[in-house]
Amino acid sequence: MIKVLNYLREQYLAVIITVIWLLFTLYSQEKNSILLKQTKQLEAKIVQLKQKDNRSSIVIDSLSKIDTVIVSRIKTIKQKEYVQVKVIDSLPISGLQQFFTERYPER
Amino acid sequence: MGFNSFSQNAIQKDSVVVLTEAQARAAATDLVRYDFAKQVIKEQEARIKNFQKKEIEFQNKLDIKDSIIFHQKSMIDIHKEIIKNKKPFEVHGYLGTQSTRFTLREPTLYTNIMFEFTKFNIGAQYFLQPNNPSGYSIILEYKLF
Repeated sequence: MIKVLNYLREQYLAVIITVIWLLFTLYSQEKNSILLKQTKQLEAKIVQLKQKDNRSSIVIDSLSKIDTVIVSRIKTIKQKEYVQVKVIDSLPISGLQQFFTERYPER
Repeated sequence: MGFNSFSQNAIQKDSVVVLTEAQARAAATDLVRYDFAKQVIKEQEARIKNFQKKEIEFQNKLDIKDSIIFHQKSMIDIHKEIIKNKKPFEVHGYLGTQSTRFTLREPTLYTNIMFEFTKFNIGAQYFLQPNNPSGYSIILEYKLF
């Protein structure tokens, strides 16, 4: 042990350089571990955002389905209108009178 | 009122409007079309509201995508920094004991410092034994798996 200490004392410059180099290496390792932690946090955030994005996609899908339903309802209304117009065309005079009487009842 | 004519009492108290059959039919048709047009407008308004909701949701989605891109860019920057900081090897220090065969007699206490590369490690060890002189040695290891 004493021999080692004497040797180190003789080679003090090498010891100082080695210690500085060691400290520098340890510092970069520590810095890297902090950066890795930050990466993990960012990964977690990205996962959360992706989940949010999926939920948003589901909402958009449901809104698109609602739009399809509205379009089909409009088509049904147009069909009903066509039928109703045809009925009006084929109504006799009495039917027309009844139509206006029902629409504008006398007060 | 004749066969080919049609009269309607309008809301005005005294006035009487006389319509021909064709005019009455056209008026009735227009009224029916008006009724259905009102229904269509109602549905179209619902559709517009739906589109507005969809637009908001698309905007949200766009914001989310932007955030994802931003975070991924930050991650790339961090990885670049890690690569820049990363040395070709790591330094580790160990302290341990080693038995002589499977007995507790004369265990060796050792400490070593290792420079660990991807495929091999190189380092120095200092060891102590109760009944033997202490010493130091060089370690060279090749990583098998």
